[in-house]
Amino acid sequence: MKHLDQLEQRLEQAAQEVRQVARHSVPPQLEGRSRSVSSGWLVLAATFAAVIVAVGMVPLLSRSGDAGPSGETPSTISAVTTTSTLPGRTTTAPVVTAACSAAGLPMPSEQDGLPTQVAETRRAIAAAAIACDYQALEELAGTELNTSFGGGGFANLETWEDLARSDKEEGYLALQLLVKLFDTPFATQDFENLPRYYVWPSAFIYDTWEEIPPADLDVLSEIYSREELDQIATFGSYAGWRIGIAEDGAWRFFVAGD
Amino acid sequence: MPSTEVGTHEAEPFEVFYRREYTRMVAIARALLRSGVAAEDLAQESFVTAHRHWGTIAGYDDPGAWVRRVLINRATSFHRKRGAEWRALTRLGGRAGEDTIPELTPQATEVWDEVRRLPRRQAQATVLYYVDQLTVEEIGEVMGCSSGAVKSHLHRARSQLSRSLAAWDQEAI
Repeated sequence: MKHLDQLEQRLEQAAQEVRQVARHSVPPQLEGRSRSVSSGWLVLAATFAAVIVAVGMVPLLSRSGDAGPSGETPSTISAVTTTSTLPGRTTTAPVVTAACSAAGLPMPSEQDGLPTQVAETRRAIAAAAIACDYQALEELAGTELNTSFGGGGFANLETWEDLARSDKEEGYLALQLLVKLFDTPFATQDFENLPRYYVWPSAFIYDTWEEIPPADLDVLSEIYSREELDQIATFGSYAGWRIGIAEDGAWRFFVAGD
Repeated sequence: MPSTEVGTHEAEPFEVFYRREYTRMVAIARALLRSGVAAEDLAQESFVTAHRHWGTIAGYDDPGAWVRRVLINRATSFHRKRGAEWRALTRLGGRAGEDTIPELTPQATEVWDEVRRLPRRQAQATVLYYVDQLTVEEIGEVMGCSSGAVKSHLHRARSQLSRSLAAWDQEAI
């Protein structure tokens, strides 16, 4: 008890000190005169992002999505509750009108066994991501999309993409992940009183890492580097990125983590 | 209600939000990062993100919770803040002579060093609780978890800190 009291006191003192020193930080001046205000650093940030796009650095800043080997992959693998054909790369992507991490990627191939509404949503998400069409993605996300545990919708997705393209370690190439994940086999999940969920990749539904069939792991190497897969494996099951679409076609989640 | 829910209140201008929240964000960042410059960078970057999405998040019940979430996720993310700290380090020479936030005392530095060694969620909860003085419910909003989970994070954090700081004191003696 004595230790905890002392700890409490130390934490309070240390916190007070942090608050005091933070008061010395002068917020950068905002230059705007209206609600559409911009500041020096806001302008700098926007300029920096524009330069990155202009000089085509985006591909160089790719991380996990580009890390996997590009060797041959099996033509057919088994999903858990369905069998899906590993997508080929023959479908032509929509015309790319702006730079994003998914620009230029091929459309995922059609998959057997998906309900029409789910297939349509999957196709629409992939097409919007490849076209870097944030507005279309936001409309598909609606208000129910969960992009982090406890909340957070489409805005997170856009933020991750922005951060990754600005060379921030905290970002994720979200749009590229969306397209590549749809190129993996899916599985289904059933919950009481909830619609059936279709989930990519199928590896997610296995309780342990060891249960994931080798073919399902192989396809993940198109998305993750070996090092990243080893890291994910330490969770004990697949805790990487996954997409969920409800059987009514509603895009429900795009999350990672345990 | 999750902080990202759209409220019915009138959205406040970004400038007002920014002025009100800036110092608090720097304090949170300072506790989570080793460098004062990096903390300022991180806080500012979080506001840049907020500004970019202000049209959406201004309508949330608590836009501050959204920015805090962005900030703590960047500070203690899987990839660990290398970007901000590297830029801070590379900028130190160029900022010689410029004022930045003062250094912490060795006692406070020791405490926050130990907090940063905690598991990510425990460190986040500890900083939001002690530095930002949020309630467990408010921390749950920011971290996207239940109040019970926050209490659990704080309990485990205190237990670990009690051990590690006591051990540090023994070594100091």
